[in-house]
Amino acid sequence: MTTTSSPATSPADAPSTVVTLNQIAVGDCGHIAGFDGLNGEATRLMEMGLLVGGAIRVTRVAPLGDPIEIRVMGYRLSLRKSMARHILVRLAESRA
Amino acid sequence: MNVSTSTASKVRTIALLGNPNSGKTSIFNRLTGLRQKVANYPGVTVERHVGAIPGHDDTQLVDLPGCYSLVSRSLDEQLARDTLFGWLRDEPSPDAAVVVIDASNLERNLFLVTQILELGLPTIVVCNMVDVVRGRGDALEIDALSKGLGAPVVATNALDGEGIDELRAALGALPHDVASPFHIPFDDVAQRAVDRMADVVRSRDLAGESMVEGVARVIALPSSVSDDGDVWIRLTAEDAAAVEAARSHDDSVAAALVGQRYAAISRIVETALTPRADDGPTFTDRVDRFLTHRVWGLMVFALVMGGIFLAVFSGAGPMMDGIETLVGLLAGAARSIFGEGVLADLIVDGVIAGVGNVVIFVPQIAMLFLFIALLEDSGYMARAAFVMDRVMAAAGLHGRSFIPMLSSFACAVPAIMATRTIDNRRDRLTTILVAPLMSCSARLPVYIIIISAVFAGSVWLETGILFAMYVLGAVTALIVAAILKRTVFKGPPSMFLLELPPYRRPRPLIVLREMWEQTRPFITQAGTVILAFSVLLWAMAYYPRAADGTDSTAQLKQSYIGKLGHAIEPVIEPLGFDWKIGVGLASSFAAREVFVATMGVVYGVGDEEDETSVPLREQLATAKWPDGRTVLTPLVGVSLMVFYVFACQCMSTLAVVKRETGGWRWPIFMFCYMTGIAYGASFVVYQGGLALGLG
Repeated sequence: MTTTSSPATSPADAPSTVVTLNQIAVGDCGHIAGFDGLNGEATRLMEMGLLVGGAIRVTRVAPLGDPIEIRVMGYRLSLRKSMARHILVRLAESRA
Repeated sequence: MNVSTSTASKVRTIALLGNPNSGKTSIFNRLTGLRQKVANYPGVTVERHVGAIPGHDDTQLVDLPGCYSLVSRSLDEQLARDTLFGWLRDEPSPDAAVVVIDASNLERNLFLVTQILELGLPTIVVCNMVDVVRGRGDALEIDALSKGLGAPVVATNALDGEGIDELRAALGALPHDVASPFHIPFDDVAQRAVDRMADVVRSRDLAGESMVEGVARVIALPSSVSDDGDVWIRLTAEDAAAVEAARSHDDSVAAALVGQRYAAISRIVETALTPRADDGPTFTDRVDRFLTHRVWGLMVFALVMGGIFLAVFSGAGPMMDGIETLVGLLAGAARSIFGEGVLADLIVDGVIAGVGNVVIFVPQIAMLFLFIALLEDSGYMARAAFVMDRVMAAAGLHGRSFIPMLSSFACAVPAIMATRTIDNRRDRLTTILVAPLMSCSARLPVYIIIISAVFAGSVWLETGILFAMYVLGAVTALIVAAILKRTVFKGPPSMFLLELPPYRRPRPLIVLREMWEQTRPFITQAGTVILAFSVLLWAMAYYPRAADGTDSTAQLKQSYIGKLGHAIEPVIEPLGFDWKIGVGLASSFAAREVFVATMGVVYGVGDEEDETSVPLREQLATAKWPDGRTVLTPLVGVSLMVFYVFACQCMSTLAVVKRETGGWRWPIFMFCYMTGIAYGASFVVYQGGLALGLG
């Protein structure tokens, strides 16, 4: 499923980069821009608080490199990179 | 403990729901005290707790599985949904609901709350863990929350009992009907999708009129549970097809339904919660920096798991010795009461020895579950899954499969029960099917007697071979899991979404209860199976009776089990085993550790032998085929141990697999594939060894 705000149409006055969640470094944050290539699973992600436009931060990577831990809607959630690849994130301008 | 299960209409059923980690179980325990019991859902062997509330004798509280949403994606969530909707067979929908939420995670918890409120049932919202919110410095206004949700909200801290009296009072004041049902406002597109679904719900009579809108709003979202587990639902295939057809809208509608619900929740939360400015890392953040660290994280994990392994192995020892002594005393007493004869033999060698065989493992199992409950309640279990998920993923398994796999080194029975935490059914079945490949404690005596019989001499060689047997089982388990996930349980990769709850101090009462709840079925159910088979085995070794004065070896040879040993000799000869080992193998199918005692009987050195007995070890090492060749050569020893690594020789395991999977299909499959691998691997080891001249 491809949901809303395509990466190509970011407003010109707010230059920002859209990347997939698995590409984000630990500590960096941004806002969810959409889901790509997920079917019913995107609904589940949204139910768990991953809303388009919502803030998201990568807080940790597991010792063996996968899965990752994110902070979303005020709690910690872990998901695999294979899933993170389908989550589009617009990076916040000021990097932590 | 006397809970009324009367179905008289006067009894009001209240469903207890909540997100996982919301403290729902603590609330249930606080409300019901000890007045609760465990019952199965009609038609399935999924347990649920039903409790009476002191002072409210006309109500019963039903504890439903924790869930994030009524849109079901696991067996647990489906049960919660179907109970609320009244879709369970022979089970009317509840009269009211109590929803427990984690106050420190308000927004996400309110998703489920609003879905339940829309069902139009009288509902109380329990805002638990308010102490965490206060500790954080946030300001939470319960009245504003109550106004926003249009339902009574009670603030509680289940740990110290705060708010429980208020909750009881609120339960007493709960009306029988809801005057104006709560509804999240949807835009036209979303509402049209709901209306289409509502038409189906109405025309197919899937819900009473007051529930139609709420039910339609839930099932308008795609649910991924369809594999199985639908057996107890009273929906027909046509109902399901109609629902599916009405859900044909595209995914943007689903996104709108979820998004608009959260938008409304956000507005409610804004009126009730004033968060203090975020001031850096919390306690949990600091602990996690260490516990999930690239280096320390793995080390802590290895230490924790190793410690549990060690404690279960050695810590339970004194208690197991104590039970052994007690069983011995009991057997002696029975002997002196019943004297000699069939009855005495049956009671001592059949019943007491059989039950003792099971009871002796109870300390190990209780200990294992104590540690699992501690890990679960403290929040570390989720981290263990987080740390190990990569390894499990390589075998196509879920991170949560790790704990059952580890538990299985002690005993597969509690390990299989521990798979209930795995939400995906395919992953859960895969884990159940491979867990018994891990070498359990009952295999240890078998390995030890064989190793000491044929490899005596070098401690390093002995330890190395023992370790190799454990590794062989573990590696094979991962390989079999990978194969099962690509064949029998093929399907879309399951979604790994794991909440990492904040750490907290484990609560002794919850931990001990959990330990008891998990251990109890082992005692009752597996105990009865083992008992029955012990008596059967005893009888097969006891009959037909030889003439008086015949020694035990001759008796065994002409008994049914002796005849069985001879009958299977041609089958096991290619593995290097003679009929006496065959008898040991056959008796092991009730429980592996029986092998040692059986070998003792077979080799005529009495039946009181255990793995430290030098005579039995020597007897085994010097036993000969009729043509004078040594039976137990090092090659045969390895072949025999390999057989024990793989073979499914445990009635308790099969019984518990049947119970957990709800039928004989999977236990039979497990028995066949494991015993098949055992035979094949032993064959390859022995024949390959002979070909290489190692015989």
